[in-house]
Amino acid sequence: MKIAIVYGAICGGCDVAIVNWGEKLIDIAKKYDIVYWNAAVDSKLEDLEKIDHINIGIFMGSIRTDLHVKLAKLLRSKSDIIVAYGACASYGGVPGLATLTRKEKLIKDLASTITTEKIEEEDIPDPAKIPELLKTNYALIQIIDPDIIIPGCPPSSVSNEELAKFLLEYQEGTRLKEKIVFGEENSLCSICPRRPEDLHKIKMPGIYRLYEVKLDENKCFLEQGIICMGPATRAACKAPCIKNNHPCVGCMGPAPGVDDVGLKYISSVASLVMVDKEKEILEEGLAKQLDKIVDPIGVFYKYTLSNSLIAKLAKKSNKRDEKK
Amino acid sequence: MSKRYILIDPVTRVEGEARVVIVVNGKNSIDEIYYEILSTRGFESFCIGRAVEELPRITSTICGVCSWAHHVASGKTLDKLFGREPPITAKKIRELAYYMQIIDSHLLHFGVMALPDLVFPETDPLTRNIIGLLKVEPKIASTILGTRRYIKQIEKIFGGKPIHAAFMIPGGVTRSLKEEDVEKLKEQVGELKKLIIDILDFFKNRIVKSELYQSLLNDESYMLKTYYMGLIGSGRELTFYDGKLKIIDSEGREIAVFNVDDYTEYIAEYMSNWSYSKFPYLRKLGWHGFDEKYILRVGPLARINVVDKVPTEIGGNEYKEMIESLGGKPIHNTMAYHWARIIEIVYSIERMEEMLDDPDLLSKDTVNLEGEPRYEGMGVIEAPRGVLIHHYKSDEHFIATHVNIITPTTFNNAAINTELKKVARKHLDLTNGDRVEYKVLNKLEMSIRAYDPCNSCAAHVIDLSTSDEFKVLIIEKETGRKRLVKYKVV
Amino acid sequence: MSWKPKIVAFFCKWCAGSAADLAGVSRLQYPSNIIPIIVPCTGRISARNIIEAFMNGADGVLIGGCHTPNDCHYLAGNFKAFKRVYLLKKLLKQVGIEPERLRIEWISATEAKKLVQVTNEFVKEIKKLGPLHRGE
Repeated sequence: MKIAIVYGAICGGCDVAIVNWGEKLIDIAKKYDIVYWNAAVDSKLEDLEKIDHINIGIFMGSIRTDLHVKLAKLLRSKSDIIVAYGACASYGGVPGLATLTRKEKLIKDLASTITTEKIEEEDIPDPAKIPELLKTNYALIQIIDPDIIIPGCPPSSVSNEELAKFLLEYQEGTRLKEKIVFGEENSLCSICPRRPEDLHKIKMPGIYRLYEVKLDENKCFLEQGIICMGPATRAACKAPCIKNNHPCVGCMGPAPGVDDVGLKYISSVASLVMVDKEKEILEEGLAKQLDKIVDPIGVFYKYTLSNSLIAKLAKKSNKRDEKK
Repeated sequence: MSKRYILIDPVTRVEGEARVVIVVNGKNSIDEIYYEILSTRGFESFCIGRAVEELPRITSTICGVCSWAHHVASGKTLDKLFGREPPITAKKIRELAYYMQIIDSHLLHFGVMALPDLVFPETDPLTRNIIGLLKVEPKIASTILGTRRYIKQIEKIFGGKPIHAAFMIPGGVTRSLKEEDVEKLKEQVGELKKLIIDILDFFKNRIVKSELYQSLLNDESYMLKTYYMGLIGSGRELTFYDGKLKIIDSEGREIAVFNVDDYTEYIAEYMSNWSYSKFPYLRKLGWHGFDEKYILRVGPLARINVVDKVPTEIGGNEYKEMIESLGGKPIHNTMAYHWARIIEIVYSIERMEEMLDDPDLLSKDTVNLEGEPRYEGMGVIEAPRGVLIHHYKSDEHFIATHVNIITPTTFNNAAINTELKKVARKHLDLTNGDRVEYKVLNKLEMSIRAYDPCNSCAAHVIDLSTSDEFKVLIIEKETGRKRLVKYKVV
Repeated sequence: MSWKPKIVAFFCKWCAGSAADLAGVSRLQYPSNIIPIIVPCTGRISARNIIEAFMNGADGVLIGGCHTPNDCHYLAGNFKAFKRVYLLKKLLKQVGIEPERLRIEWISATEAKKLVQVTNEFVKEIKKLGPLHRGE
């Protein structure tokens, strides 16, 4: 059987996550020919185009250029099973933070960094022209329909075990009855080693930014006043960041039943902030705390902005600006 | 005869998306070669407006192979922006953890990306990889894959996640190490060191002594006489986590030693419309196109060239042996990057072993919250591929207002483009019409791979073209026939 | 111009909802742009409910709840609503949508006049901002 690993806009972390299979890669290579994988295998785009049929197509990265769209569609047309591998393919990932930045602005920002001194448009022949950036960043799932979604930046070792198992058990020609999302049907809090006194009565004693306080190594982050994305995030890892005393940043994407992480979080976390002091500090005092969240997009949508409801609304609303 | 184009699309066994376009004129000689980075995500744009303390997690995703380099460089930049001096324990934990990144990335590159070229460069392209290697050299291939287990476990102890770690905060690290952590680390580092020594032996006995590698080392086309830049420690020794930047010229003369705070005096960048990566150059020399006389290189070979010593036992000896056998410094042969990388792997594991006996590691004092904010910070680190600079400015609420990141692959971008021309002019036989052998094209890719480019890192952007069509020239493998395929912008 | 702003108003049944009834009984008119939705408590309105209203064509969303600190029938639902709205306004601003399109007011069951005044003001403000789904 054949596996192809194809990229959108990537960082390479997903590649390393696959290489971290280590010796397991040998078992997988016994069952499958890896026919395309830029990081490790020497087949070229023309080779991929010539292949008629692929059993498992793994797509990593977000969709940022016209070439990525082409590759995604090509892979879908040839593969029985498409795996959206990693946060970028699944939800747009960190590059999705550029979802609401106009392409022209993006280029202008990059061209005006402090060391950029000389800019020239060279006269280049057509075949040497590079792929065009799309207007915005997309998740793979906005372009094609995958069969398996493996969230995570990058997918956790638990998910990788699960994928290896799937690949080793997979029988040629089998199609999935429904889309599978890897991970548990629960939020990260359900597996978090830090137990608040009462999970349903968490109080946030204000809001503190990561640079303001020494982090307690055992206490629930919310109870320390630290924004932790756990409540709105799928449990598809073993909470490694939290075990390392860093709050969850939401790389596993929305928890089951949640489709917009930020909105869910605003609804839930808002209830927790100074919940026992509301009548003393009133609206003014609450506002002062909430102002500590200086960048709601960056905190709530670090990995999921591209495919979020709020981005869709913003696009509807900002159309006029784009035409200008 | 009109112009024709040869494509290597994509360049493989490198990280990220890149392509080579060779423009051949009617007289069968090469007009131009482009090493193109094919995508950007625009970090320097979308990092603006973010709370600065989030940047170590965000910028880490610039690169998944050297995610720790970005994570740590970003944290160091924040130390300065907040005006905080991390406690000694935090510094040591960072440095110790960071050696793991060097080993991780170098081993990955050596095993998965470089080694097939050094063992069987002319084999069928479809088996010229780590899986193919398992059949030909089962012992070394499984040793390399075997290292992943230890690397993963060690990285988990420091960073939580092995990739896109979570431990850098302004003024320190998130958590202290417990005694059992250190015990576990000692055990894992010991095991990993055994494998690394096996890999070193393999490299010295099977690669260095091979005719193939020797011929590569003696191939003038894989040689660039350039400037070099790298960090040096307080004793001018090899260092990764911290130090001063040193620049030497192609004769080995010291041009400058400076703090990263002054980097804009020394470094400027050129931007063009055919690559999503810029081209840094020495500001005082100016941009002179792809002329090796003016080009700057970074990375393992540059580090070996700028430092006075490699201060560990085995690593130090290997360093001396390498210099001796290559006829002294500076070493200009790009294929020596592989050798330098192996030395750095050995040095790093030795340093880890040394540091694990340091009692400072166990202190609970892991973060300093005091300091006078400067609202601007520059941080530098030796990433596996070379000098990495982060530079942020913020407003009074610590929201980022300017972000500049210069990655090692960006630094080497001009060198890669320059060297490709030399390699192609020497090795490509263009008299045979459109037919080009794959194994010959691989010689070009070998030049690129020696730099271990991380094209995801390199992706700054400019695209000045407004065309709504994009064309790809396909050259068929068997027949050498070309087809021009057009794509519409969506 | 044919465009008429559409405004979804979530009114708590204990206060603003009753004020709307009272306005009707008292023959006080509030603008027909307002589409009132009566909810048991403003603390039950999620951020998602608000965004869905915008997605489905609302140009403005008004929330009417009980006066703080002590009027909430469920103790602190109004504070919850305040916190959500406050954060959501920040988010709207960040994604390029005028935060003035979302407004929260405390209106007791007896304040029919305030209700009329607030709705009139809000309609005027939204008219000034223009349609949300621009250019569609």
